[in-house]
Formats: sequence, C-alpha cells, structure tokens
Amino acid sequence: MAQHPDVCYSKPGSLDPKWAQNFNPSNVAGFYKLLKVIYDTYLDLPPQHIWNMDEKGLQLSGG
Amino acid sequence: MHFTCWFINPPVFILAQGPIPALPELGVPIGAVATLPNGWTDNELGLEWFQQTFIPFATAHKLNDNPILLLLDGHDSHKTDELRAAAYEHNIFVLAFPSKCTHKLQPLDVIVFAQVQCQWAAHCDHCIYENIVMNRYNVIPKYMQVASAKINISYSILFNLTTSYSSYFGGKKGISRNKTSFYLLIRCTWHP
Repeated sequence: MAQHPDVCYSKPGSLDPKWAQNFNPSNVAGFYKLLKVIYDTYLDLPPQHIWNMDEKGLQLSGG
Repeated sequence: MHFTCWFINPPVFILAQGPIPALPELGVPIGAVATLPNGWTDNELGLEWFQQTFIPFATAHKLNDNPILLLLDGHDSHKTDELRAAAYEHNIFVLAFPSKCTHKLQPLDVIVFAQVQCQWAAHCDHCIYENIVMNRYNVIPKYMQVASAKINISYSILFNLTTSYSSYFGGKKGISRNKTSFYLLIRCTWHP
C-alpha cells in the first residue's frame, strides 16, 4: 500500500445522507398531494394514461 | 413504461460516441439509438425522446380526451422550458418525484430496474464464462432479451400497486381494501 499512494481504503457508504434527509413525511406527502389534485380533477382518468419513465445505466460487463 | 396494460414505451438507448448499429438489424422493438460523448442524457436528448418517442406512443394509446400523466424523476433534462411547452401543447401532465426520493418512490426503479439489473449481471457472468464478447452491436438485443423475461414478472407487482393508487384516489367501490393497501405502500417504503 505504501508504494501506491493513490490507492486508499474505504468502505462503501450505505446510504447518501441527502437521500435519507429528503425522504421524509412532508416531502412524500407533498408529492401525493399533487398526485391527488390530478386524480380529483380528472375523476375518470384511465390507468392507460398514466406513465412512468426512468433512465438506467447499462454496463457491458454487468453490474 | 406503462403501468397497467403491459405496454412498454419503446426504450431508447444511448451509446458512447462511435458507430451506431442499424435499427432493423437488431430485430427488437426499440425507440431509437443515440450517441453522446459520455453516454448520459442531456437536455436536448431528453427533449428529443419526449417529442419523438413518448408523445406519439402515448397519444396513440389514449382512450379518451383526458390528459396524460407522466411520472418521472427531477433530472434537469426533464424540466426544460421546451419540454414543458411540448407537454402543454399535447395535454400532458409531467409530475416529478421529490428530489433524492426516487430510490423509494420511483416504481420503475425500485421494482423493475432493480430486478433487470440483477439478471443482467448474471447474464454478463455467463458471457464471460462462455467467452462471448459483448460489444456495442450485440448489447442492445441481449439486454432486451434479458429485460423482457424479467419485466413480465415485475409487472404483476406494479399492477397491484397502481390499481390501489387509482382506486384510492378515484373513490370507487371496494375502497376500504384498497385504502389499506395504499397506506401499506407508504408504510412499507418508509425506512430509507
């Protein structure tokens, strides 16, 4: 290890503190409140109109 | 991706800069292949996906004149003025999950991608063992193959989850049971 100063020991963190901090009741309730406004405004909004999108990284070596 | 009817909006792949494999040769239903120097989405590409892939597909599957609701995370490329203008024009609501909460709230990430990723890692291990070289030409069909097998299972979970959403908010019959599962959803996803 002494011959490679650029290598260091570290443990992988379990959870980013920001994630833990932002995932709180008022934030989540705020989101569902907005969602409820839409559902209440359009009472017969069919499920076929609700979509969810996300991006995903893809490594050729897996993982 | 579509919640209840097993529709998947054709996925778009972004490769690092280089040659692009021809779409028909891949033989899988995907939306588009694009390249960017670092392989991540930028604002222009996000808009292009929205206009050229999402809007035609979602509008084609509309049942009535109600607006379309799109749930996504708060990435910069999802809240540009151009994207908002396009959404307004086509009667689409774009609702973003609160920031740093997607690891619990984003159904696609929590349920579908987590499983696909796991399966993909297993597939890559298998390829190393069989000495199959993975490159930019064969990665897309392979990934679609792995993903589609896994996605069918994940759908049933998503379906239960979202029907309880809509029944709860819609105030239809059988509310008591659905209400419980809705609360259950919040409760069990509570601890970060």
